[in-house]
Amino acid sequence: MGYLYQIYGLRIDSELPLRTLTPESAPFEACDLSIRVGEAPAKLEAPPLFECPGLCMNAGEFLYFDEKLGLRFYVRAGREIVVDKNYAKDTDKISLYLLGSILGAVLYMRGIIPLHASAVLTEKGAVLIAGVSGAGKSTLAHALQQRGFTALTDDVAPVHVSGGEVRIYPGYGEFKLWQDSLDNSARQSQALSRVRDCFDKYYVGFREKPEMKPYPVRGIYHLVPGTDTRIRMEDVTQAAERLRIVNECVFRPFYAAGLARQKEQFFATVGLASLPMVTVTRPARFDGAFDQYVRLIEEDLRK
Amino acid sequence: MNENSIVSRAPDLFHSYLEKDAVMMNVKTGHYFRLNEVGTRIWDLLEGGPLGVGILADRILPEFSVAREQLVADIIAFVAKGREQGILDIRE
Repeated sequence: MGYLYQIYGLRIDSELPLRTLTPESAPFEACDLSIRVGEAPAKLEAPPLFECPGLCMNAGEFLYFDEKLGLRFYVRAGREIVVDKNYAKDTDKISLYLLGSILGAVLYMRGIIPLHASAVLTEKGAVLIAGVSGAGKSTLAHALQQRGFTALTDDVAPVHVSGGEVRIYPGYGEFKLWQDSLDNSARQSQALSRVRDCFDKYYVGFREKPEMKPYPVRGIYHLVPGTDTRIRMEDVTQAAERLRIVNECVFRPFYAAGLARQKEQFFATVGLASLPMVTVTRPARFDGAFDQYVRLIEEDLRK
Repeated sequence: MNENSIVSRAPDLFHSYLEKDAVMMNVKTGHYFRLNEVGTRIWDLLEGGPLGVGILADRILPEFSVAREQLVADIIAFVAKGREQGILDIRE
């Protein structure tokens, strides 16, 4: 038996240890995804729907390779990942790819649409914190955890819509933070592990592990870095604008066509666009106003 | 296109509602569309299958305060645009 993990609603049985995930102690009744080391095929069995250098896919298969980095992954039917045995050396590096590009494909294949967003739990449901890279999603989610909210996921929020209800699955229990956001929250970084060489990004664990179940979503913050020192919060009243913003935040949107999951993507984005959304323009630099910013969000969340 | 032209929903579309408006996605292009009130009403009427422009006008006329002639012209303009965007089909 390998390592057992739970993330994004998936029970995973892996032959390789996955960096940053905490293994489960009790065995699962059944697992949703197996990760094994073996021979990854050089090409897809069925014709590709999407192809570019290093990547090809169709409704049931996904192949990712980078000869230079020495990586090769094959995903079948959202249930099995094969890490090629000739490339399965650097497990830290493999984990990064597995938990990003590869797991993203697994989610699409299972009809779950990953969104670039962090999320916290409030009394009335989960609130997504969406925005482009560098908008400050992780920083805000981490700060809200410091103020007592349960963090549900960082960076990627897998969305599933059924019966008109939008739900997200919790992530793997760590924030990826930049050094300056650690400075804002006055945490020491020496003891934290770095995400990637050359990047000033660090892992910080969630305070508590969220219960592994889908959480209904009550609303979305759309985080935008501002150009001045002001903090602004504006309701996005136009549905078309909400839809546009949600579409911008979809993780690897081209996977949807390549993996033939456009229908699920469509219903996920329309479902998300039906929820209340607030655009939060944060100051370009906080200069001591970080607490005020987090307090404003906290007041809004407790309303 | 005239009152006798037959209008239907194009294949290869997903559709849903955002607030009260119909939204749809063209699977081939990946483009999203959102219809206004009248467009949504026409879209809903086409749920059961193809309908003539004249029949669409007759059904909608009581719901809006507009002259029938104007309504037919509006429907034709809407349908032409819908065909261009790949969300409606027309049989002359």
